[in-house]
Amino acid sequence: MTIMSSPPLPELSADEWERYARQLGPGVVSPEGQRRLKASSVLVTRAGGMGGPAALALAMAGVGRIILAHSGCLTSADLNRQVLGDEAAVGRPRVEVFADRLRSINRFVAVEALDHEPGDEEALTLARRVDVLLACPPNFAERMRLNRAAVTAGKPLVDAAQWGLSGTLTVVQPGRTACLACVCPTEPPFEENFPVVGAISLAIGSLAALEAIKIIAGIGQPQMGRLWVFDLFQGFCSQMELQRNLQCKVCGE
Amino acid sequence: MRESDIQYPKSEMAPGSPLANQLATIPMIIRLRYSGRAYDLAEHLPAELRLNDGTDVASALAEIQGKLPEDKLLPPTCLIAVNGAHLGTIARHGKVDLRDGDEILLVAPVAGG
Repeated sequence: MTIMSSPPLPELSADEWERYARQLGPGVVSPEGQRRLKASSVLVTRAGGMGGPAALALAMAGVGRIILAHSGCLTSADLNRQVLGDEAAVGRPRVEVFADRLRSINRFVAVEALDHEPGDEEALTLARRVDVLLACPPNFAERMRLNRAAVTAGKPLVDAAQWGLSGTLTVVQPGRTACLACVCPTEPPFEENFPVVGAISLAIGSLAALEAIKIIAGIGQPQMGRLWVFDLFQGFCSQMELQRNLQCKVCGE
Repeated sequence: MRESDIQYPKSEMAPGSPLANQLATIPMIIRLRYSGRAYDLAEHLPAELRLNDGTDVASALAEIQGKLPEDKLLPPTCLIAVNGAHLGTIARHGKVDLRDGDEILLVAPVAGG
């Protein structure tokens, strides 16, 4: 399934083909898909519990440019889930630490680090620069901001969220599927210091990255317009086919 | 032999007859899942609801709320799906009559990052 347009694709070096050899093949990533990954840019905000492992997976897969946005300094309490951090980095600006970690994983990937969460205008500017947005912030206000930016820019948005031992994942394709404002016309209540076990952060973050990789590389069936529910406390997974609201204030026609 | 194969005497199945009335009160079984924020609320809820034939989603939600402790409310922003099809939120959703075997999925949205 090809969703993205086809600009001239860059070539990969022999070292790059060697790096990605294990993910190439029928039913996985095609050589053209790998070149699409190299040509692509992805915004990940924020880069903590789920955004961190998502960014890690994107870097390992060979996404050409990753833009991380996350304010503040790493704390001890972050280390139960923020996989790009470590003990030595506690007290340091986390986005610098996270960006360095990604660069150390894959020298073929460019990483930009923003030490703040983008406001409306900057979010839209970034959305226009990238091919896919990954929304992993800890509140609805930022998610809705990224949703607005993605819809205005016409770029796919992968929204990953978590609570406790559960998480949800959905992919918004502007103009084709429900957007976040269709699903949540009223902003739900939420606590910024929500409880979470790091294992679910890594699981949902990795799945979010996989959706972005599928969209960019043009492989498989991205989970567009569906809400995936992973409730690993109760032990079930489910899907909801989301209904678009044609009167939606963000994406309505 | 299936129940539909049984030929009841017409007089016994006539509308308003004792047998017809009895059949009309056999409840349908609706499967129920609750997840998302504060999924631990699910411990108060049964995996199945027994509802009268023709009960709609709004009535089912009232039944579900009635099973929760008084100080626990289903969030108005909670998403609803029947058999995987999104209907809206508890505060705002379409009218759907339930059928035996349907599944209601309630998901209180989460925003943790």
